[in-house]
Amino acid sequence: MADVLGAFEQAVLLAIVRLGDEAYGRAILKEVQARLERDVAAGAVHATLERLENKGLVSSRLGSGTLVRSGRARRFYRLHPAGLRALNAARAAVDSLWHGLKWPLKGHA
Amino acid sequence: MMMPGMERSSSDSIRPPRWAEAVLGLLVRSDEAESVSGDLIEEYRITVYPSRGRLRADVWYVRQVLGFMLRAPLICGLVLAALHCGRSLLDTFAPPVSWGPRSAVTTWSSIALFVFAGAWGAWRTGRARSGILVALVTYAIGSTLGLAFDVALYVSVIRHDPVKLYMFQLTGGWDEELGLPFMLSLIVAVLGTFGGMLGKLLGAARPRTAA
Repeated sequence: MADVLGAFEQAVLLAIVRLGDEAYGRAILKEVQARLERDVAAGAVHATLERLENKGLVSSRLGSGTLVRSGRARRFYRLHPAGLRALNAARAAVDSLWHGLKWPLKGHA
Repeated sequence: MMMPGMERSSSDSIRPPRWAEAVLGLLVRSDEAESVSGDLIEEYRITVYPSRGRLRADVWYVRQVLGFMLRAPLICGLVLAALHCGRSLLDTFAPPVSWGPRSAVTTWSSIALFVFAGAWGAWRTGRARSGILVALVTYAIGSTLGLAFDVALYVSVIRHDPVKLYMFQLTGGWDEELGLPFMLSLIVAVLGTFGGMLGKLLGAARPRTAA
C-alpha cells in the first residue's frame, strides 16, 4: 500500500517533480511558497524532505557549491518510484472524494 | 570588470549574524549542515537582503533558525509540558498526604527526559554541544507551556477555592512558578551536557550507511 501523504508532503514532492534536475533545498522552498502562496519556513521544508527521504520516497545527492552560498554544497533531491506511487495514490484519493460533485461547491454552507 | 576576489569579498560581507549561523550548525544533522546553511545564506543574499536591508534580513535569518530550533526538540518539550500539566492537575484536584513520591516521579522523569533530549540532539547532529541546546530548548518549551497551563488553572479554579489557594501558596506559589525555571536552567544544561556526550558516543558507535 502506498504511503498516505499529508498536504505539505504533496507540495514538496510536486515541487521536486516540477523542478526536475534543479530540485535543491532553496529552489524547493521557493516553489512551495509560490504554489501555496504563503511564507513557508525553511525548517518546515527541510524537516519534510528528511522525513520523505527516511520513508524512501525521495533520495538526495550533494552537488557543488556556488559563490553566493560561500561554496557550501547544494543537496539535490530526486523522486523515487515509491514517491511517484504515493503522489498518484494521493491524487486518486482526492479525485475519488470529489467524484460526482461540481466545483466550486454552492449552496451547501 | 569585477575580479573574482572582489566578488567573493563583497559577497562575504553580506552575511547573517555569525552566532545565528553557529546555532543553526548545532541544530541540523552534520551531513546536512552544509546544504541547509547554504540554502539559507543563498536566500539571504539573493532575495531577502536586497529587498529588506540588513536589519530585517538578519531578523528573517534568526526567525528561520528559531524555526529549526523549535522543531528539533518539540516532542520532548511537549512531553515535559504534559508531565508538568498532569502534575499540576493532580496537585490541584487530588493533593497527596506526602508530596515525596509524586515529586520523585516528576523529578526523575524530567531528568530522564533532559538526558534523552540531549542524547538525541547529539546523536542526530554528531555534536555533543547540540545536546545542551536541545535540552535547554526542551526545557523552555515545556516550562512555557506548563506555566501557561498553570496560569489558566489558577485563574479558572485555584483562586476561587480557599483550600486550593492555600495549597498552591504552601507549595511555593508564584515565586516557585516564575523563579524555579531560571534556577533550574543550569541543572538542565548539565544534564544536556551529559546527554550530549552520551549521544555523541552512541552516534559514533552506530553503523554507517553508504551515501
